Amino acid sequence: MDPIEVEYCSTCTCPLEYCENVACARGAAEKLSDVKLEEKASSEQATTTTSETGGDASEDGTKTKSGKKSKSKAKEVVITRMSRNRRKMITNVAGLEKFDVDLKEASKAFGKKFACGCSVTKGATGKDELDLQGDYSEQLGELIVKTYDVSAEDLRFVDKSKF
Amino acid sequence: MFRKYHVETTQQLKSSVQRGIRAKISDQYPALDDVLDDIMPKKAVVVLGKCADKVNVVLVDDVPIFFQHRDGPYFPVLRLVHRYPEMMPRLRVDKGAIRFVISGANIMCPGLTSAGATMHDECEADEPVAIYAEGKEHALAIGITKMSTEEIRSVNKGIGVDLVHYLRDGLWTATA
Repeated sequence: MDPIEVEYCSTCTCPLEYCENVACARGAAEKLSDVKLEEKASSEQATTTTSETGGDASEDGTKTKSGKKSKSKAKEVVITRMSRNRRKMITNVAGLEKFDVDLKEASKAFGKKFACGCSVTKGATGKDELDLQGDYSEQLGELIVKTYDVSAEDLRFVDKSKF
Repeated sequence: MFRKYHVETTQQLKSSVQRGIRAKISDQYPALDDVLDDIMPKKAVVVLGKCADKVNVVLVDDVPIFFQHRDGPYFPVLRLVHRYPEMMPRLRVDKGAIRFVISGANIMCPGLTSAGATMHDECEADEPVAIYAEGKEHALAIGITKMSTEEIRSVNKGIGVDLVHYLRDGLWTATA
C-alpha cells in the first residue's frame, strides 16, 4: 500500500476539491471569475469618486477614529483566562456591568450553565467582576453575546495563563 | 468531538504501552500492517495527549495520528485516511449532504441510500468508517456507524453514522 499525497489548498487547508464547499476564496474565485471582473470595474469607479472628495473624507476619518477609541474604552467586556495552581484555570469577566447586566444574577446563570463556581469579586480597579472556576473563555464569549445585549466586537479576550 | 481541539496534558509513553497501542491499531486496521512502521516509526517519540471529555490523541513526533474516546476504537486523523484510503470501510454520501457534513452534522440514512450515494463496503454497527462524497475523490469526515449497512438500507431513517472528525474541525485546523 503506497501513500497518496493529497494536495491541500493554501487558504482553506482542505483538499483542493472541497474549496467550493467551504466558501474558500480560491474556490469562489474560480466560480465567480467573471463576476469579479465586473466588481473590479465598479470599484474602480468608486475610487475615482472618493478621490474627488478626498479632502473632506480624511477629516471625517480622523474624527470618527478618535470617537471610536473613546467609545471602546468605555464599553467593553474583557474575558481573561488566568492560571492558578499549574493546570487550574480561572476565567475572569470584567465590564459586564456597563451593559446593564445584573452581576449577581449573571454569576448564578454562568455557574449553572458551566457547572462551576462563579462569584462576584472586586477587581483591581474597584469594579465588580465575575470569576469562574475553570477555563470557559470560548464558550463564555458565545453565551454572553447570545444572552446579553453585547455584540461580538465588544468582547476582548486576554490570556494570562502559561498554557 | 473536535469542535475545539486543545491538548491539556501530554504524557510520554513507555515503549510497552506504545507496543500495546500499535497492536490495537494493527488489529483494528489490518490493511495498515505493512505501512505501520512508516506511520509510527519505532524510533519516533510517541506521546499521548489528553483532551477534554476523555479524548486521547496519539501524537507521533508532535503530529496527531490517531485518537480515541475513552476505551473505544482508535480513529485515524483525516490526513492519514487521505494517505491510505484503503485502511477503512468507505461510505459515500450524496451531494446535498456535503455542506452539512462539513459543518459537523451526523450522517442520516437517506444521505447514504439516495441515488448519488454509495456504500462501498459493508460494515457492522459501531465500526469506524471514512465518509466520502459524491463526485469527490478524498474523504471529508470520519465517523462511527450507528447501524450496520444492511439496517441503514432497510430502516432508511435517522442517524446512520455519528460524525467524530471532519474537514476543518478543531483537530484538522490545529494540524494544518
